[in-house]
Amino acid sequence: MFRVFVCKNISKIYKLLLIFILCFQLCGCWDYRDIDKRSILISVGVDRIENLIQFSGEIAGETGAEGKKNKEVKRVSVYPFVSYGENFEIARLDLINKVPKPEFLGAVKVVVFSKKYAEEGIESYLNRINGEYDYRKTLLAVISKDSPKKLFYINTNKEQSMASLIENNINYQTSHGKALYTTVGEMLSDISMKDIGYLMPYIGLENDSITYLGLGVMKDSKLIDIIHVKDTDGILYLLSKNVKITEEIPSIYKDENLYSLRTTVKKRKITTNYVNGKPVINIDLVIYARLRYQYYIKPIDDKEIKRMEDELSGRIKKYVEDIIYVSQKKYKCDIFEFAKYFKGEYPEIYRKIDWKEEYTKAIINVNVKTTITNLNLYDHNTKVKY
Amino acid sequence: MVKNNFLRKIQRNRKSLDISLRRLKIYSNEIYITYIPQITDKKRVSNDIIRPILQYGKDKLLTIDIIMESVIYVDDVNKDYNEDKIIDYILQGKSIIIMTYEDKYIVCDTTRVEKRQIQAPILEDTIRNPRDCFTENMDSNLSLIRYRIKDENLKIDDFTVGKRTKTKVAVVYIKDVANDKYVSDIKNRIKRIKTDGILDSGNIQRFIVNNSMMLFPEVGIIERSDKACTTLLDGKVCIIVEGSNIVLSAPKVFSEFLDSSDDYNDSIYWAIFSKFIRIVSLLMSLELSALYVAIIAFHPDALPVEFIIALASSRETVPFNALTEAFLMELVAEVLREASMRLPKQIGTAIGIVGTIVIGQAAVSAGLVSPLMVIIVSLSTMCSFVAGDYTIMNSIRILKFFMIFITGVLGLFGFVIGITFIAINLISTSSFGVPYLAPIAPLNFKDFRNYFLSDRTLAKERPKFLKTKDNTRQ
Repeated sequence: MFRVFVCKNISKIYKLLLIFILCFQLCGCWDYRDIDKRSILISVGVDRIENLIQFSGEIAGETGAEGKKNKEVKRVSVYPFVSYGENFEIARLDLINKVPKPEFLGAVKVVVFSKKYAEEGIESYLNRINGEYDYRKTLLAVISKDSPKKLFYINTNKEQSMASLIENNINYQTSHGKALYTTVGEMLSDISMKDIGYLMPYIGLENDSITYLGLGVMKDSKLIDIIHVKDTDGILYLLSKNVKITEEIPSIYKDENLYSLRTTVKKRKITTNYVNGKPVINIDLVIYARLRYQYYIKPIDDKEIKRMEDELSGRIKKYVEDIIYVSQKKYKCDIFEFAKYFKGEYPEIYRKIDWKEEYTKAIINVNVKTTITNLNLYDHNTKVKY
Repeated sequence: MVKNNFLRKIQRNRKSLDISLRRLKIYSNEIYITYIPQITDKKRVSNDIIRPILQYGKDKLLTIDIIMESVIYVDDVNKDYNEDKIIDYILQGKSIIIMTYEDKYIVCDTTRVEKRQIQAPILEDTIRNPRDCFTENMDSNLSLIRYRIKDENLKIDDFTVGKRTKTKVAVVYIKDVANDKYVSDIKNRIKRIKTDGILDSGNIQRFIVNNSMMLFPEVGIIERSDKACTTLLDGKVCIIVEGSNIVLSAPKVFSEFLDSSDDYNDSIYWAIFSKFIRIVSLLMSLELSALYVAIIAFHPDALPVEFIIALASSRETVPFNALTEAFLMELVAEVLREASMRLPKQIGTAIGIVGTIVIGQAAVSAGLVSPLMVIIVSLSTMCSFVAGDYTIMNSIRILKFFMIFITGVLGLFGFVIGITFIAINLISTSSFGVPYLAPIAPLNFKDFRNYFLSDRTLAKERPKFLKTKDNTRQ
């Protein structure tokens, strides 16, 4: 039976064999190596020590036998590494000599640049990440006040890697609208625009804890300033996807009574124009605010609500205008990606003008409309409206 | 004066076939009644043949015709002249009445067949469906179908297959519904069978399919009589084989293997959900282990970072590479399944325990396999039990190893090649001329909708791909 089948289908069998052989010869994944046979890097730090590039970071280590004996839940331990070299290649070679197995970069969660290295410029390393196929382009990049090596050598005593601590911290802050989670991919996209700058999370050790300290301002991929966390509200209203900022407004009736309001951006509309040889950037923000509580519970009337809405609008407008003014006059750099909007609307003009120059002269119109959506009424059956 | 050679013929084979020969002498007539006691109902021979002959008036004329028409009580009788067929009749369990001076003999159907009672299904157990199943007795099987379909157009064409076994095969269909082309095709294929013996419907299946080397089954198996009736009403053909409790149905397409009778009894939502579960399970059974190998060995970066680290740590003591690990574990699962099928039921449960403890717990504790591999193998094995007709899963079980191998060599690229090969194979297969992937390829939206919704109130027409004579159901 088999012989008959083979004889009848001999040409088909030859074709199949040919396809298989070609697959094996031309495009076989000959890099077969199980994940447990690789050194899994979970964080990378880049610093400059004198004339040498310093690579530091963490490698996911193997669980020891002790955990198994005690039948404990397995936890992955990490151990740090450091390597040096005149350039990335030599530093990498030094790293290869130190790791026990071929390194795997696909699990890197965070790249930490030292402040010093960021001031010199991080573009070359971002390009390296872009070129290395196994790096994730969605990995988080931060600037550290302290040396990355110092961060990675801290014993957290919680069997938790520094990479996780940093990533979780920034992730948490971002999800609550307090920070910006900037990935390498986004930075590379901004760099390719050439005319704009970008912002990066700035972290450091405060009381032996990893703390989010603010945002680093990057111009031409070089750190030019640090914006402290308490001064980042205007940036967050403009750039954060999930802003949640708490504002306190005093009552007009009683000074010591404060209204605690949480604001969110309901709608953000940025339009551009080019009038009299100057770019015009119109920013419309629709803000929803929720009254969380009052320090002393008092009835609220329409007048009070209106006043709160106006005060909030004014306050937010000021935050936004202030930070844009700083970017125009002090940094002379578009860190809010307005160029992308302008380029989208006026590509011909954008090609002709020097955006870096024009941005500093741009007219900015900020329009904020705040609505208080929730008055936090406890008694739904009250006869008085508020 | 002896006018025939019937007795001589019987005498020649009497010893070897253990034939009983009862001689009656009535007046001057010698009457012989011959049969094989093991396959003949002796009570009927005594009461319905011997007693009436003996009680018949001794002074009356007795001929073969008179005996047949006026004496014996047996309901199914006929006359024959051919002395060559006499042994065949006896071997079929019939009793032969011979008179020495007559050139013909009477064939009485006194066949006795040891048969078991109609029992609940084993292969096709359901929740809300009738539980009467086919048995090895063909008459019982046909009666179960006739009991449900009281249509004059229900046709049963009989064939005898097997040079030595002379097995009865019945081709059942509804004449004004089933496509003549499929019916005649099946009948011709059965007629062409040249073999010494057919002992089960599975033997017939091998002979009638397009290509016995095909991996996917082209013929469905049916254990429950109600399902056979549903199949006939759809316009298909059932093949019943004497001595087999499994009835074959043809043509059969891929999607029908994942169908279950329960889908038609519960709500539409449940039917869609269960079909979805079955399709996902089939894919999981085929692909899960292969994907494990691809991810571990070639593309760990396809997973979130936390998973990568957890995976690496769970495999740190495993001495095998992912390909060997997956291959061995799937092989062990197959061994366990095979062992549990062959063992008596009482011991079968022990195999389950041994499998769970030894293969699962102990192998992980010893660091021979990773816990994730155990989960994957268990899941993939469980998923392979969900199909309504289990025969499709046999193909999937074999293809699973093919997928593991090709993915182990070529990574996700190999995985895609494997899936493509399987898809090409499925698309180019046909069951008695019906495209195997119907109603998806070629796409027929109505049939596709009816298949997924499993609602008889919505399915006003029979499936288009069966090209039935009468397409209307309602």
